[in-house]
Formats: sequence, C-alpha cells, structure tokens
Amino acid sequence: MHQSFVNYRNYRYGTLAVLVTIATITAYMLDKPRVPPNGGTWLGYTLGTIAGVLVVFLSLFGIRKRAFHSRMGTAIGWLSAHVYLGLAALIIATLHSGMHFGANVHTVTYVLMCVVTLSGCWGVYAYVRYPGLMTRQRGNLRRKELLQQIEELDQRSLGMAQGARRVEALIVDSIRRTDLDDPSFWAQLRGRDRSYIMIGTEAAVQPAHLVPNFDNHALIEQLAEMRLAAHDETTRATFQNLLECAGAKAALLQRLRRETTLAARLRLWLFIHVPVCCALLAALGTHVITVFLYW
Amino acid sequence: MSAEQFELAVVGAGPGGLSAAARAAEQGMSHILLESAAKHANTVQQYQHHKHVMAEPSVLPLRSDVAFAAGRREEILDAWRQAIQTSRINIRYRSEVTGIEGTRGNFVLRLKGGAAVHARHVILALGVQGNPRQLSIPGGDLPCVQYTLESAEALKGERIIVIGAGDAAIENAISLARANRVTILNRGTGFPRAKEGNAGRVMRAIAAGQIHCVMEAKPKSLARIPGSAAPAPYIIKVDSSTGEQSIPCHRIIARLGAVPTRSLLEGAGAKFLSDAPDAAPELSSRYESTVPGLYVIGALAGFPLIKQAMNQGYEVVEHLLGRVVRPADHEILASVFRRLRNGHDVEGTLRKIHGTVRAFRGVKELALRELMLSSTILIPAKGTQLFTRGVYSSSVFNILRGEVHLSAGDGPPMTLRAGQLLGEMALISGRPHEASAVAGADCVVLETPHSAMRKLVRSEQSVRDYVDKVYALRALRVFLMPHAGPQTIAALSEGVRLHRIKAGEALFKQGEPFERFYLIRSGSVSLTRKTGDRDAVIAYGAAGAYLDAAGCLAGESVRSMSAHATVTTEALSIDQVRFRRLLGADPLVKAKLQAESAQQLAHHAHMQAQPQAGKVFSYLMSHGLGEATSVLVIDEDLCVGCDQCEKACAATHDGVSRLDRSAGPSLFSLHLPTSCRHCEHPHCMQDCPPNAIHRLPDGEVSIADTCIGCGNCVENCPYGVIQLAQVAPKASLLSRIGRRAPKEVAKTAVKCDSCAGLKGGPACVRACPTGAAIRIHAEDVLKLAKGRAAATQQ
Repeated sequence: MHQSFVNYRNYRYGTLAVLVTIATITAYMLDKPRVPPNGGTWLGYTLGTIAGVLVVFLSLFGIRKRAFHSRMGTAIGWLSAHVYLGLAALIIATLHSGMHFGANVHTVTYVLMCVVTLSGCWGVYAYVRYPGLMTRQRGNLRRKELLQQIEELDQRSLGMAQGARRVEALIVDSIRRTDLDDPSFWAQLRGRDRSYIMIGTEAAVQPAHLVPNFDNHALIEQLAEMRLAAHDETTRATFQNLLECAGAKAALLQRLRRETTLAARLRLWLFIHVPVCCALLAALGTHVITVFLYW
Repeated sequence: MSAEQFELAVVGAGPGGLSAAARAAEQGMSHILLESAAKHANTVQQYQHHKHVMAEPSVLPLRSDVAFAAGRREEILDAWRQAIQTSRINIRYRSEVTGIEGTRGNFVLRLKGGAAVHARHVILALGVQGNPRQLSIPGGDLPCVQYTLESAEALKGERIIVIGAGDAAIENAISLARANRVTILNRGTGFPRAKEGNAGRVMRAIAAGQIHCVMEAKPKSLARIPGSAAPAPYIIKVDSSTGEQSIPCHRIIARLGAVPTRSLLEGAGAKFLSDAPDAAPELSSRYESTVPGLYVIGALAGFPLIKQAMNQGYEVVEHLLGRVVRPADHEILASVFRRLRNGHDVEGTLRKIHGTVRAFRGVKELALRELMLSSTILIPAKGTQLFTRGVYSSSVFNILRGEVHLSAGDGPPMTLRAGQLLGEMALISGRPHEASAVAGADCVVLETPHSAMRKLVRSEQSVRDYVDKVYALRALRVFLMPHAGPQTIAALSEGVRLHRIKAGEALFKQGEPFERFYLIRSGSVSLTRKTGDRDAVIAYGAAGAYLDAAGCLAGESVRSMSAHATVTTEALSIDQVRFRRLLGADPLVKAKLQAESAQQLAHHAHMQAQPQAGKVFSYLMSHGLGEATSVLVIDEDLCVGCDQCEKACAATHDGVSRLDRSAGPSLFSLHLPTSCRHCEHPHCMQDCPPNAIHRLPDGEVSIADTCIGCGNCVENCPYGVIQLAQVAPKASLLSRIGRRAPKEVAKTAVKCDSCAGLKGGPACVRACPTGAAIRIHAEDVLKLAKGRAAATQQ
C-alpha cells in the first residue's frame, strides 16, 4: 500500500528519464555536425534547451512542495520526477557541452550542476537508508519516550540517593550537566556527548573539578568506587542499584545520540543541495545570457 | 418555622431559572428564586476563566428579560448579576431544596435546614450537574477540601489527593499529575463508572507511575499537621486493602459525584421517559411534568443550551399568566414544514407526522419538536437516490408519503411505504449504507441527522424497540437471506435476541455449549482459539459479519473459539436449533453460509500459523482500530521526519495542524500518528450540545462552525485527536500593516476532517514527498500490519 518515491507508480518517471536519455544519446551519436559537437550546433542548442528547462522544472519542486493547496500532482510524484529527471538532466547537459570545458561561466554552470546532482544522489541514499536505520535503532520508542525514560531513571536515582549528601550531590550534578539536546547542527552530526560532572566536591584529596562524563562513564566510575568502599550490605545494594540506573541511562543516551546523529545526517546533504542549486540557477541564467549576447 | 407563600417558586438560579424569575418579577407575580449555592449560575461559574460562551442555536431568537449574547464567561455572569439587582428578582441563595410535595396550587418545597416554602407553581431549572456530595469525615470541612477544580495549570508542585473514580476525578487527576504528585483514593478496585477512554488513560498513568492510586480506600479523617517540618500541611487517614495509611497532602479534591437532580423530581412524583440515567422527564409541550403545576426547563428537561433554557423560563411564566405563547421554535418549524404545503399549521403537521411515522408513535410532542428542528423535509423526484450502498451518511429517513425502493445485494428490491424507516443499518453500525434507496412516485421523506435520532433512541424505549425490530428484519434479509419472503424473515426475526457488550467482554467462550448463532450489528469482535497454552487471534469480525459459520454448519455442540469485543459491540443472535432447522429448509441460505465458512476456515488456519500476526492484531485493536474507519499510517522506513504532513495540515486548516506526527503507537515500522480515525460511532459526537459534529458522505467526521468550544468532544475522544484551538481568520494586509490587534477569537474544537472539501484527498498524504503517509481503512491497516509481521517472522 505504501509506495516509495523510488518506485512511484512502477518507476513511471524512471522510465521517462531512461527514454529521454536514450533518445538524446542516440541523437548525439547520429548527429554529424560540420564542427566538433558543442553547445552551439542545432543539436547542442536543443539539448541545452531541454537541460535548461529541466533544471528550472526541477527547481520548481521547492515551490511545489510548499504549495499545500496545489492540485498539480502529489508531492511524492514531484519528488520521483525530480530524482529521475535530475539524473537525466545531467546526462543531457553533458551531451550539450560536447565535452568542451574551460575556465568560463559555462563550465562553472556544468560543475555546479554536477555538485547539485551528486548531492541529490546522496540525498536519495540518505532518504532510502536512514529512516529504516533510525526505526530499527529506536525500536518502538520515540524520542519523547526515550527522554521520559531518562527522566524516570533520573528520578529513581535521586530517590535512592536521598539522604546520602555526597551521592545526592553527585547524582544531581550528573543530571544537571547531562547533554541531552545540543542545538548546534554540527554537534548533532558528530553525536558527541558533552556531558560533564563535578567530582571531588567533598573530598579533601583533590579539589572539586569538572570532568567529561561521556556515556555516564565518570559517574559510573565514581559509583563503583563508592560501592567498593561501602561497609554494609544495604549501602552496597543501593550503590548497585544506582550503578544499574546509570548504566541504563548511558544506554538510553547512546540511543538518543545515535538517533540525533542519523536525523542530522538525513538533513546534511540539503545544506549543499539547496544553496548550490540557487547558485546553479544564477549561473545558468548567466550562461544563457552570455550565449545569446556574445555568441 | 414559618412557611412563606408564593405564586411561583423557581428552583435553580441558572440561565433558565433567572429568565423565569425575571419575567415573574417584571409582571409583578409573587415569586421566589431558590439557589443552593452562594452565587448565581453555578455551572457557568465553574467554566474556566475567560471561557468564551457561545449563544447557540443561532437561528433561535432569545426571549427573555435577562440579556444574553455570546461572550466571555465573566461578561455573561456580570450581565446576569446586574439583571438580578435591577429587575427586583426575589432571590435566596444557599437554599437547597431537598424535597417537593403537593400539586398545582399547593406545593411545599422543603429546604435544607428545615425551612419550607409554599408556592402555587414550581419551575425546576436545576441543570444536570446536581449538588456535589460532601466529604463527610472528621476534618472534611477544612479549607484544603474542594469539590471542583477551576484550573489545573494554577497548581504546581503540590501533593494532591483526588477522591473518586468517576470521569471528573480521573480528568482532574490526569491534568493535575503533570505538575503535582497526585494520589487517587478509589473506593473500589477499578474504574467501571468512567468512560472507556478515561478508564484506559488513568490505568496507563497509574501503571507508568505518574499517578498513585489507593484501591478499596475509605477516607477516615483529615487533620492539619502542626509545624512546618512535614512535607505537606495536612494529613488524611485512609483505610485500604493494605491496611490504614496516612497520606500527607496540600489539597483534597473530592469528586464524589452529585446528588442527582433526578431524584428530587422523582420524589415529587414526576415520571421520566426511560430508566436511562440521562433520560429526560416526561413533559407536555408547555414543559409541565406529570405532576400538574410542576414545570421542568433547561438541561434537566433535556435542553442543554443556555438560550433554550432562558426561552423556556420566559415561556412557562407567560403560560402561567394565562397568555398564549407560541414556543420559540415555532417559526423554525414553520419553515421546516413550509415545503409540505399541506394546509396544516405547525401543530397539525406535527400531529400528522406523529400519526404517520411508526418510529415516532410513542414519542412525546416536545421530543418530536426537538427532533424536527434538526430534520429536513425532502420531496425527491421519482428515481432520485436517497442514499447509495457503500456510501456513508449521517441521516435516517422516515417516509411521510409515497414509496421508496430499497435494494441490497442479490435479492429483489423491497418497497417501503409511508411511515416506514430507512437507513437504520448505517445508524446502528456507523458504517456505510448496506443498501441503496431510490425514491418512488409522489414521495415525501423526513431526513433526520443520526445524532438527533440516536438521542431519541436513547431516551424513548418505543423508538428503540422499533429501530431494533426493523434492524433485525432488514439485517436477516441483507446479510443472510436476500431471496426469502417477508413472512419467512418475520418468523425468524421473532427469535432474534440483541446482545450489548463492552470492550473486553466475551460474547461466547471456547468450550461453552454452542447455543446461538451470532451476527455483529455494531462494533467488532476478535475471535481467539486456545491451543495448548497459546491464545491465538484467528479473526476479526466487524458489523455485518456472522461468527463461527463453520461451527454452526457442522452442528458443533461446543464452541471451538472465543469472541471478545474490541470496542463496545452489539450483536444479534438466533437460537442454534432453530437456525439449523432453517438451514435444512432453505438450501440457498445453506449455500451462502457454506461459502462463507470455507473462507473463514481458510483464514483462521492462516492466522493461526502466524502468531506474530495475532499479536499485531491484538496490539492494533488495543489502540482502537476495532472502531476506526480511516486511519493515517506512516511507514517509518520511508518517513524522513520532514513534517510536511503537519505543515500541509496547518496550511490547509487555518494554521492549526490536526495531526501530531511524532505521537502515537508504532509497530513493525508502522506508525499511527495522533490523528482522527473517524470512528464508526464517533465518541466525539455523543455529547455535543450544539450538535456541531457530523459525518460527511465519504465517512469523514467533521466539526461545523456552530461549535461552542465546550470541550466535551475533546474529553470524550479516547484517542486524543481533538484539541481546542483559536482558529483565527486570516488577518488582512491592511490590518497587518496597521498592526491592529487581531479580533479575539473563541477557542473551538478542531480535528482532522480528512480534508473534506479539498479535492485530491487529505493534504497530509498529498504533501508527503517520500510516500510514507497514507490514509486507509482500518481493515487495510490490519492487512498491512499482518504483511509486516509475516515479513519479520521469516
């Protein structure tokens, strides 16, 4: 019942793109111009026009997907066409160039087109691969539920630590400095845990200092030491429980970060695709104007 | 104590009572207005602050000496307070009436505290809220005890005890638990009195540790704790199944229910239309109960809207003054009946309809008038389709004149004549029509919305009996024996029994004797079979399905499966012996059943071989798929989280998204976001005072602009898909430039309407670029999930 943009309507736009590509390649092979193939022959102009129109059409996807009242096809149809015709456009543009490259605006346009298409391919890969990975990664737990479970573990730890000042201070501090949601995109992408913890708050041996608490490591170490130093069975059991909570929280934090990283990776390609596409449109305009003004 | 004598005693200073008393005061009639609380309009006082109160139905003119127009709660209460001061109303607060005796000309109203009031006539305008039951334990009068909750948001970080296990207690506890430590004291062990949705919500909250619950709890005493060392200033002692407990608290919210107003009326000798708890009293067209001189108006009389109550108060006093006053709905009814051009006035037409339509024969005039207000007279040309098989509708039809031809499936068409009912199957099942109806010559029909008809069915036993009888006859014909003649069907229908079961209850259990053959009428059941220790789901039966056809055909003496309701379900049943006799006599029915049972057997075997599929099935049912008609399903393997679905929803619905993509259950990469499922019997429709929720022809359940923002639907929806939102009209460019403050808009209920009216289907689906979002029927969701489960198993 679900249909992906890849196999939308039995590869309708994939087939169209293949047909257009075959037709243009055949025309290129059959065409025997008096000068070596280039953008200035009749076929060159024709291919250039097709590629140009396609680029403009592909850019319109950005408008169509925001036009929620539009009845012009569906967003999935547009995306499917965008992907396949985008690939075809690059081949047609290559044929249009006649393999003539140089240090000029025309080649810049072509290079930009290559960048846009390649980043688009990366986007297709991301869209096909990451959603499934993310689903398997989070199981049936959504982000909100993960955060809820983390909070529950925090509350449980706090409850257990109540009364023992040093342990309570340690737990409170680890919670306060847990890095749950770094707003920076790069931080999300790298998936680094920037949690810290202040240790040695009461000990005379060393002054209080901040240490990284990546995956609750520092907290777990501290709790483990405290457990070893504990004298009675009840205290040891409490520390054991606290350790289990800290371990469980570390596992949840890992899942949360992995999901955040995947979500960031899912968007990363757009930071190239969209701005370069704008640059491409500008370059394409310049390319067309230059061709008609100076050639 | 001396008793006072008045011409009129009005009980309850709500809008209806105020309007009656103001009219009496204006006309110099000796009167008294008795109010149990310390303020007027107790129910409106308890609305949340700044709530926008609407004045529906807008077509009904206001007849009252007291002003009322749509506006904020505070403005309305203030206007009424001023009216009390300026119009010489003789009002007495804190005067709770505990009993009424006597009859016209000689009523005695007993007040709490022993006083009595004598009156020639009495108007009861009590509303349905009743007086809250008090917490009668030592310390129950301490200031920490309250009986209502105005705003849950205002309370934070407190230890709060909620006493009670009804809807009010549950709703308060859940809303308070977000920012407080809440303990529910429940006298029993479950929540049987609460709505299914609320019971489910509170059980989940208790299981998740968000709310603490003491079962079999009996509060013993409440006391203030001296000193400030304690975690809370009060302590309540409670007897429970685990012994006596002392629980510290800041506040106690006692939701012990209300002393029902009905008992006061029954005590006075008035009769009610039925035993249903929400049934209205039996009233004349002048709102007079079966006790002469005792009038009932407003919500207690079955009219929940403010304007209706105010009009009725005015009309009753005018009637007592001996003036002929036409009911306020007269003009509306006249316009409804205008198309008939039959020469009768409104009353004459009503009498004629009453005499003609069989469903309405036992219905009282007031109920009929109310039904007519929302009904329409249709005069379709011959050959016009009234409804089509497979299409949803939200109306039933009663033939006033001429005939209608009904055709369903393979059988010959049936001809229905004046007085007969049409569309009762869709009314009962909440599903699309099972038959098509075409108007014959000279046909006039009365179209009545499902909501109005359901209200009538609930309150009038005679209507319920008639609809059940018609349903049984037609269902036997449509689902079982389209070829049979009316006599055969009528004879068979005599032995038909109706069963109503709640979600989770069993219609029959494996191992029980096979006594009856069942046909589902509404709701759905899951069929399970126990083999060894394993309970496997083998099928799902929705409205129109017969259960265990194979077992019936084979003449099994013991059930080989169990049937449990997934939602509230109704089923018809026929005695097995009688049914087998019919099978012997009618080879066509036998052949039909044989074909069905072959299919069922194959399906059961298939399901039994896939235990995962059974689990998926049970999981989906536990999330309400058993009553869904259209479900938004997101394939998580395709969803990139772009939220285009939500953006599209907001863009096409005044900026408010009606779906929450990330919320909702997920299973096997299928995610059911929080979005309306357009239930077969929408919970939201059950209690909508302005009757603003409708089902559209394609099955969408939609809220009209007449919504008054009361929030009943939000509370009643077990799936949390309705929200109250300010739907502001788009600001004009000029006002944006001039930065004029946008006009304040009242909050109204909003929910997914499947983009009815938007060509091309739901915007969320159309805007999904990766194809992850689709909207499909619940049965297709089951198929999809089964496929996923099978793929996972391999």
